Amino acid sequence: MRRPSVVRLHARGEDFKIVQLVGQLFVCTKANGSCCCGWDVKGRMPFDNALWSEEWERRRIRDRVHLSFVGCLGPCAVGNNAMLILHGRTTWLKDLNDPALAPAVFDWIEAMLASGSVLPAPSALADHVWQRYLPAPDGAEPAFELAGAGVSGAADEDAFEGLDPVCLMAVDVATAKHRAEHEGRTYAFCAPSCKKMFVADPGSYLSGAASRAM
Amino acid sequence: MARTTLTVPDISCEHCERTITAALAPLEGVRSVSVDIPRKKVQVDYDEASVDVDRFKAVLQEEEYPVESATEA
Repeated sequence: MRRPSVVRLHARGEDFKIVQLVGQLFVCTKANGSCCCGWDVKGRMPFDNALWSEEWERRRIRDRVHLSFVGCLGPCAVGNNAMLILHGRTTWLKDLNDPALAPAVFDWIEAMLASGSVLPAPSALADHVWQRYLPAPDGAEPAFELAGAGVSGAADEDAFEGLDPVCLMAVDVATAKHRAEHEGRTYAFCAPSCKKMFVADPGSYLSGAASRAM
Repeated sequence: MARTTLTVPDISCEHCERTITAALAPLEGVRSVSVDIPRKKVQVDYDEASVDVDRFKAVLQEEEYPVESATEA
């Protein structure tokens, strides 16, 4: 069973357990204030949130890669745009005007998750990847000082304790209204939908091995 | 056309939004469904001749999202 790595953070007088990620995919969308991406009147493929969100959900990678729909990312001329941060590397994606490109992006992400490294873009994406950010002046990868206390850099055996394993929201297993047993352990959920999704395919949420039958 | 706003306390995340929208939107007479996750509200625009609030309550109950209250706009 794969366990997510977590960090414990303090905010607004409370302590929270947050899953640490391998990366994040930011997709520019018209609904969030994009000025070009998704605008068919400007020759772009109309934006379909489900095209991205359903692929993301189906692959059970939420605990490693977050998907965010955002407003203008900037390079409007080459939209529809997206930006991927994975394994500490940023890659830009342009001209995403074919529905087949969304699964191709996630295939690439999954391959990089499996390999634990940044891989060259597959042929389907070769004409869509580019680098917008200049390298750091000293050529070094950016280094961030982590607050030492409470940071769990390794997989935490109890990582799912206090977290809904489907949406990764904080839940209290003792008081949660929605709970399910799996292999002798009780899991808590924020809502009925998450519980139903887990009960239908618990292994995929705990192992990260997406059920392709979904 | 009528509009109602349902208070659904068990709404928590975007999975709830998806479930509720998928349950209500296909009903005959429903024009639009909008889920406000932080406020735990569901706004439904609908044709009163085809469907009513009791039907919405029943459908959401089946999905395990009981409706606490409904207010007409």
